[in-house]
Amino acid sequence: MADKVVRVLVGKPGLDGHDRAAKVMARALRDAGFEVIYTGIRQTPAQVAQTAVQEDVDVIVLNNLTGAHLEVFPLVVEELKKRGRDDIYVLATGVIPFEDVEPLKEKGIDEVFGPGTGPIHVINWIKEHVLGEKQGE
Amino acid sequence: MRNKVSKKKRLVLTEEEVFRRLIQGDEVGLARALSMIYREEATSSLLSRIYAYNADKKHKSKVIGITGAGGVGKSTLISVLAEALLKKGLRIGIIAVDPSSPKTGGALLGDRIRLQHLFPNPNLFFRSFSSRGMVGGINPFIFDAVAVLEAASFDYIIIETLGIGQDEIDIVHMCDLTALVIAPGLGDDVQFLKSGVIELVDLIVMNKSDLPTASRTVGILNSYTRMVENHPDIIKLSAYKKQGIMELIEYIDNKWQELLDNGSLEKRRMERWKFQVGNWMRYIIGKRIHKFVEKGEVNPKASPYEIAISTLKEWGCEV
Ligand SMILES: Nc1nc2c(ncn2[C@@H]2O[C@H](COP(=O)(O)OP(=O)(O)OP(=O)(O)O)[C@@H](O)[C@H]2O)c(=O)[nH]1
Ligand SMILES: [Mg+2]
Repeated sequence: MADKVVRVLVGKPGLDGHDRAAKVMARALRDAGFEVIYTGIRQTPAQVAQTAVQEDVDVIVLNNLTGAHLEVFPLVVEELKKRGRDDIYVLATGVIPFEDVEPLKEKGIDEVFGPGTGPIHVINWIKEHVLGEKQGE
Repeated sequence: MRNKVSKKKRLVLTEEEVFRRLIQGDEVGLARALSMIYREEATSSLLSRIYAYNADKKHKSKVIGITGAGGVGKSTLISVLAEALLKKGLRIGIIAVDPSSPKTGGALLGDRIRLQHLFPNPNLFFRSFSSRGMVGGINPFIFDAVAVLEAASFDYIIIETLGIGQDEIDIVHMCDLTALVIAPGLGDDVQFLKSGVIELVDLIVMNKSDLPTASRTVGILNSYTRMVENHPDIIKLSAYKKQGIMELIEYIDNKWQELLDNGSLEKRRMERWKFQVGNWMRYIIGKRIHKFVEKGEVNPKASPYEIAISTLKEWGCEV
């Protein structure tokens, strides 16, 4: 059918109280034609995962600026696994040093968008991986 | 940063699995059923099974519509309502519909924010939908989404829609009971009195009664009720302060029971079913008309009416 709607969850797990970056991301993703579910700040990994399951999203874009990404982001993947939905793509954004990229990927994060990247890189990644996949079906 | 990601094996469920998991209340199956319907991937057989299943089963969900202008507090109200119902051990399914951008088709769905704190919770399900640019008509998917939630046997199904234009009337057809939420100080306290919706809803919820400007709105409401004989009931509350919520639940439960006992509920549900048949017909024909008009040749010498009639006849419609 004509409706290749990509659904994206923009999640902010952890105690990070800043939501500007996540909001900018959410808006950019919407303008790219995606359906964006935005949940607000201070989400637990379990909240992010249950939301992703209920909304049946294709991708989760995680954002955290407090530096807790190494602990928190893999917990989201764990929670998804528990719910049988670790097939959902998980992307990491925020202030993530280069040396954290491999450890995150080892723990199930599909791609990391650290400093120097912006929403456009995330959008292109989603278009390539999710939209490409859907159109190939 | 461009190293290749191994392609993930995405979850694919057959309709059989979706149906089986859905009626067990499994979230993955339920969520997928909604996606399939929304993406028009569900064949009519999934929907047929769902409707047949619902018609036969004893458990009936209470389907409650919450509509009103932007920012009156619909989502906040739903969150406190859900919180109170969860405390009673009930299962709640919520659908929120937000507009999508007519240009890109994208949408920012933010109604969840107000109740994310209630998660994780196995008894609470929330799904955000975009209206997907349905102009001048009803999105038939939302009706079928309600049927899906009914198949999952929620005790309450709550639907939030933004009350503008046609949609606000459509929600009445979808629900057992519909509440129009109003709030003081938004400048549209007179507007809602003028709109026809007020005659169609069962209940007016005056939210934000904690605000000092609320008394003005109460005044307007009173002058309205004096004018109109069969006006909907009015409940004043504050979602923010969680005041009046128990009264609202009691009202809903009593009213629902009353509708059930006097046969109105059955009637409303029949009407809903008929309305949905019309929805689908309008949607399907609308798409065909859209295609025709987009591709159609222009002949300024011909009357558009004549072209419309002759084309419909060509399609086999009696006109
Ligand atoms: N003072 C006061 N503010 C409230 C009350 N209920 C909601 N609000 C506030 O009103 C604003 C809008 O609330 P929402 O629940 O998002 O309203 P909504 O009707 O769902 O909005 P849309 O989905 O955008 O149409 C928020 O800032 C709430 O905190 C209330 O009872 N009293
Ligand atoms: Mg809302």
